[in-house]
Amino acid sequence: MNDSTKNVLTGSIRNQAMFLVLIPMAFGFFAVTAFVLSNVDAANDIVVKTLLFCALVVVVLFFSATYYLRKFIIRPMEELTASLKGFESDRSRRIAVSVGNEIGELARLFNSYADNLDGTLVRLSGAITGIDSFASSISASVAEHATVASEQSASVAEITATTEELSASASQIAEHAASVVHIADKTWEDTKNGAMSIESVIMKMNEIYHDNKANIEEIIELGRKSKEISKVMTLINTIADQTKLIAFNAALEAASAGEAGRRFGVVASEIRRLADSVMESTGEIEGKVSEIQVAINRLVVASEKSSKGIMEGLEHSGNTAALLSDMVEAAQTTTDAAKQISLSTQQQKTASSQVATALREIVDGSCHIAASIRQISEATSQFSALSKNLKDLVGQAGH
Amino acid sequence: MDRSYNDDVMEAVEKEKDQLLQLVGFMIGKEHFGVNILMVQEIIRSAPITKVPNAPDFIEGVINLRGNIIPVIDLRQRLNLKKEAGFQEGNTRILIINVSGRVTGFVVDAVSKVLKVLASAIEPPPDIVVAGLKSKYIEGVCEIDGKLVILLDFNKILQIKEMAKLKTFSQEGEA
Repeated sequence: MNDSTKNVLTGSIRNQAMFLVLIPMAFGFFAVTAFVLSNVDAANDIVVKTLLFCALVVVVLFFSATYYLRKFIIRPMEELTASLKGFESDRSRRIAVSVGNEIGELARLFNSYADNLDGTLVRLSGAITGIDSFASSISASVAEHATVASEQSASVAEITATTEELSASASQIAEHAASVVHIADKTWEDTKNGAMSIESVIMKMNEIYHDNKANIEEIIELGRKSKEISKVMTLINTIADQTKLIAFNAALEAASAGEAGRRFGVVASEIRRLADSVMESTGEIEGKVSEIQVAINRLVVASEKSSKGIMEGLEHSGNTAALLSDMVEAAQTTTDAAKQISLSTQQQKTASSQVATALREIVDGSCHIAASIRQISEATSQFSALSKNLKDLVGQAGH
Repeated sequence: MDRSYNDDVMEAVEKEKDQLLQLVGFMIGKEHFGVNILMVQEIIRSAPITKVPNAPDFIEGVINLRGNIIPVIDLRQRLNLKKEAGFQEGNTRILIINVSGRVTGFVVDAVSKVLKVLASAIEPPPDIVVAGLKSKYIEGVCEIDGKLVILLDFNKILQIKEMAKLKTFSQEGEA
């Protein structure tokens, strides 16, 4: 409110107060006049006439003052009141400004304030509508959120169940892995024993091989000896042959000597017979020796064959030993791997149980979230109701 | 067998006073031959035979018998007998025989033994060819221990011409 408006307002009130002082003065004057008139019958006509004129002037003044008052104060005041009454129902109504005095000023101010209020209310209504829409959208999204949260909770519950199953199967795997470790250990031990056995087999076979070699040498020596026997036999045979020849020649000599050589002839024939029997015996011995030699040859061949077989056996045993040592290595590797698997499955078991625990916590958390969301939803609906009320209020204010 | 056979012979000799012949039995191939022991001077093992150039074809060569040079005749070749499988060259014997006053060696496969046979047991040669040789060489045939023994007459085994050649050869050899 600026200073000029203030001044105008104070000035107009002073004028009206002057009017208010004047009206009782007029009434007082008129009453005095009437009293004077009633009391002074005999009073001078001029005075009476003057008094009457004065009374008339006062009446005229009074009426004119009343008219003025009505026209410039009471009527605008009434209009103002009516306008204010109508403003309640129709906010677009404005006070018609017919006077330029303080009341007109007041009406103008009112009008300007009403205009301001209108604008503010429109803006407020807009804002409330925005708030309402926001509240409803928040409500919708909260509802969505609640749905998603419950879905999520269900999913997490499923995941938890699955993880628990996983944990159970992990523990089964761990058990199996433990038994695998046990078996692998046993296999390793067995293959080690097998490798040791094959080593001893190889040693035995080596011994057999050497024995066989020695046997072959012995047999060959035996063959050589029997050949020597054969040579001796041949020598004896030759000697017997020569003896026989000598006996023959002796017989010839005996025959040529005639009767005298007859007894000598008998001796010669005896010597020949001896030589014959020697030859027969040597023949038998030779047969035996050759049989022995054939047998020795067979024996040598068989022994060499068996030696070859033993060599092959040794080779195979060596291969087997190599394979077994490979197997031992592999079994060791398998054992290590199985141990690692067992360890890993143990870790997996622990981890999956931890995961299950964490998931259970997540489920709890999501339950909490759901509860919070419900609360938020309730708050949002309340907020929505509040904004609706506000809107209604503003709407009511607008009309 | 030998003893029993000899006993039999001795008994026969005593009983019948039959003439007992002693034969040197020898073999060429599988055939058994015999020669009168009185004709045989000696039996030797086969010695290395020295081939003589320009010698008669029936003479194998000469040997040195204790300083004496003796012509040697291969009896197998002479009798037209074939060599059999399994024949061993080194095991042969040489009969030193006096043929019509000429000491000559005859190569035979083997000498078996001194055979004693009764003269009555010797049969004349059959009129056929026996063992691939002409009967004029054969003095007789007798059976001893189930085997047929052919008695050879070494005086007839060489023909006259050959005898002459042999004599000439020997004289040349001696000369």
